[in-house]
Amino acid sequence: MKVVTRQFGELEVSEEQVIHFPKGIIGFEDCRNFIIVNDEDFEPFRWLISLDKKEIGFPVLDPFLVTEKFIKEFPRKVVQELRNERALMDVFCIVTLKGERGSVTMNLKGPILIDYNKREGRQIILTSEDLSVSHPIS
Amino acid sequence: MLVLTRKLGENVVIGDEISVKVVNIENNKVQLGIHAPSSVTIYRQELIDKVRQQNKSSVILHKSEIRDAAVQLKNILNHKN
Repeated sequence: MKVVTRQFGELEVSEEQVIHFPKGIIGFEDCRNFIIVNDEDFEPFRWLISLDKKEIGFPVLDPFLVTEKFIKEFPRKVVQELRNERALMDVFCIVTLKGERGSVTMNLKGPILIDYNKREGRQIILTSEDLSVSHPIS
Repeated sequence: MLVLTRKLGENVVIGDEISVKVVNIENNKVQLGIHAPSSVTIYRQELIDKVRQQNKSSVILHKSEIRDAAVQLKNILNHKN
């Protein structure tokens, strides 16, 4: 099916690419269907784009490119989910371009978890005080 | 909003599986003990507000906005390797 996105214009998207977020993401609870788009021009950044509201799209990044201690802060249940061999999961963080003094930051406190088998996603909150919603990338 | 007055040690039961107890009261702070199934998330309001605010400032209107950040990041990653 064809979808029109603000970020990429028109895209051809298959049913299998649609990821359902039962609770949306925080602040955008009515955005329940997303796609994850790779971007050859700007990798390693990828995009989490809403199919429900075409102006809603977020740049996302693999947090492990920038920080190693991140996984230690995950709740045990989530680590179990991620380590399950039969699972096909992804973790990424939303990037903010308009940080303080023009900095580019990543939200380590609210990562996005994707289960590709179930084609479901959710945003979780990590309560550790060591993690910031605006962890600098550059 | 339902407002209930509780004394130290008293409990409030929500639904079938959640209870909140006043565990300690000291210096204008109330310590709450919460029993809930692990499937129920429990967060301080400020934390949720922080993530909400950050999500809202992260919406990008066009992919080209990320160009500079992508160049910077590639440089950083190349230096690491």
